[in-house]
Amino acid sequence: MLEEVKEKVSSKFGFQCEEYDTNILLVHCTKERLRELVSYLKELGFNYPHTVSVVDYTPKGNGFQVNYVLENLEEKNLVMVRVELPENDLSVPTVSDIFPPLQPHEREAWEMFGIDFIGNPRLEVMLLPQWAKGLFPLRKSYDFKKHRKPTKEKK
Amino acid sequence: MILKFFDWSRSNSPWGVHFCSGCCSLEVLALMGPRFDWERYGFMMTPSPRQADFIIVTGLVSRKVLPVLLRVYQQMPEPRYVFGMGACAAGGGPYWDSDFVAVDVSQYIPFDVFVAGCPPNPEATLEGFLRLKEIILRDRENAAKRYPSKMEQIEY
Amino acid sequence: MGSSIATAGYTFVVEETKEVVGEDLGLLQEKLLQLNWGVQHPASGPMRLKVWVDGDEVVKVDPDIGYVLRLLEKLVEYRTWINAIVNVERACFMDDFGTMTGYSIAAEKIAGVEVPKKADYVRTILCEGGRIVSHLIGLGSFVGVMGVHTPMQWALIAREKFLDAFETFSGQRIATSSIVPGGVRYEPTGKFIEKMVVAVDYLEKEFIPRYEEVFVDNPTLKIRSVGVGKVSKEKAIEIGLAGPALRASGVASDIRKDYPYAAYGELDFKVITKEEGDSYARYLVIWEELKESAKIIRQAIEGLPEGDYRTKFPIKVPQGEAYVNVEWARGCFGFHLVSEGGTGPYRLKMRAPSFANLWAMPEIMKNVKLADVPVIFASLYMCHGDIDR
Repeated sequence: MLEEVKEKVSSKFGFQCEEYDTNILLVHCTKERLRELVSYLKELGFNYPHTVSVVDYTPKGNGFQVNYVLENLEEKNLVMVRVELPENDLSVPTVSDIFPPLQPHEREAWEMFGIDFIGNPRLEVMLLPQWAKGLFPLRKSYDFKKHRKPTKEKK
Repeated sequence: MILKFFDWSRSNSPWGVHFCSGCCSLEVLALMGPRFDWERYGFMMTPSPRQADFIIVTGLVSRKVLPVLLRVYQQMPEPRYVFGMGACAAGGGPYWDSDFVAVDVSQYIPFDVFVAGCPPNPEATLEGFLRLKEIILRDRENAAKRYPSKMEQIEY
Repeated sequence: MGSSIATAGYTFVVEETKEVVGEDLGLLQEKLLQLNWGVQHPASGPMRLKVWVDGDEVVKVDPDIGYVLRLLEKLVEYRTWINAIVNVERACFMDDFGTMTGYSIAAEKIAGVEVPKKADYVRTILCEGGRIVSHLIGLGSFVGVMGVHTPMQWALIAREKFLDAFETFSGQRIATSSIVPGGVRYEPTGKFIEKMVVAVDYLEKEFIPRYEEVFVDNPTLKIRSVGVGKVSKEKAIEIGLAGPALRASGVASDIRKDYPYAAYGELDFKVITKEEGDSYARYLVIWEELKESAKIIRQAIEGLPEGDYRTKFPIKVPQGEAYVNVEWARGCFGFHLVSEGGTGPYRLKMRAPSFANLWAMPEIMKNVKLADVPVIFASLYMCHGDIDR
């Protein structure tokens, strides 16, 4: 089943697809055509969104990765759409109007990583306390060790 | 003399605030249940802090819930007692290096009893509650005095 | 005991017109009353629901979460592969085995470690035990929000038997840290199996018949919950419900069946679905899954193979990543684990089912009565540690 999706996506969009795991297909997407691809996948039956997972690769100089995980509840398989973002341009169009459940996930990714989801109606602090707005704690540049209060040294 | 009578009666039915800030509240639930049954010692939960004698800091206190915890504590009538449960209340526990967890809660509110464990066994917690009873019986002046006077100035 | 509102835990605040966010409520805004449900509330747990009411009708609900935020996803990056389970399992205490299993499977996939068959079976037993323990609290608290506390006490009796078994296995009642990448940490001794059988016997022979007689198909319970918070099949998918709530709307989505992990592929069980999609159906799904879990445990104990229970897990894991789903008590829990060849995880993203259910809740709670808010909240079966992580 995933072979068909793979062929369809690569012939329609020309994106590179690879097998991520059994039952999971990985699609490398660009941010310009992300919305187009996601709506197409929704038509194909991938109608149950799981999450937005962001990986920070800045220490290696690769910028950020945004992964959208969508599930097909009928055929029982998953697709992972991957968008690579350079470090200096952290914006990606929102898919929260196509998949409303992803709106809070995008909001979480925004507050934890500072990735701007253009068009998301509600990018506000959700999990963090108000004073922590703009700290982006899940980034690799934010280090708990630096912020930690020094403990008493053992004698 | 009359105060001693109050203390005696209070120690026989201490009421706690129904407020959970972390995961150890599950073991408090077990304590309320049939097997451990803390009501045979007179302990009870009350929804309102205005009627409570003690508050249980159930483990983890995140930085966001800390103002709420302090506010609930302020609303309690004196003398009030604080029961610290689990490793998190004492020193952060498994989240000791997280920035968004209040690691040392004892600098904000004065604790009377700590129970170790992550989470503590109900047996251990019950033992701690019996200690709390003793403290209520003899430590009235201490408990009233230890209220931090500059509560409003604490930075969260 | 004061007025009924005070005992129900509602606190009135001065109307905060500023706080109405999102859609503009227009003129209506001026006559609305904002109620805070939580943070200090017996049923809500550490979270706040801002409820805007017009008389008795709920106009809008906005959850305010983050009160148990620990940033587990970041903490895991400071741990080694094995140590990380301590943080992963604390996503939620009620069923900690599911999260540990998911994380371990993801780590094993990256490292290419094959787990012995015995470990798979023990994991299955533990996962189902955890599911039962969690579902019992779910049942108890659902009836509990309606003001009847007896079922919770009955459920706690049955729960203690399972916790005894876990204590024999690992030394801790909850938070056992017993499933690690590479297998399980302890040998499943005869005594553990014995206690597990005792617990399942109690559940099947004592708890289930007694509970079924009183609290299932109970007319008073039905008045409060039938037709409350109704979600159709299409709507459930659209708003992204997860776990028992999704299955109660007629979607047969169960990771144990769809993408079998551990020993679920070899065991016989059925996926519980209901068509109604209301609060009562969600309650029944939890109830029937309890019976199903007891059957799975019996099968797994019978089929428990001989052999090792743990293999060696390397200290350094090669580069790679994996996305693994497990059927946790509250729904499908996803782990996106990334390794960069270090001694610990590079990044772990947890997809929490309660988080999905929570943000589907404002949609379900539109135009219900105020008294239905706790019922719908409890029927969605959420855990706060899991929402905030």
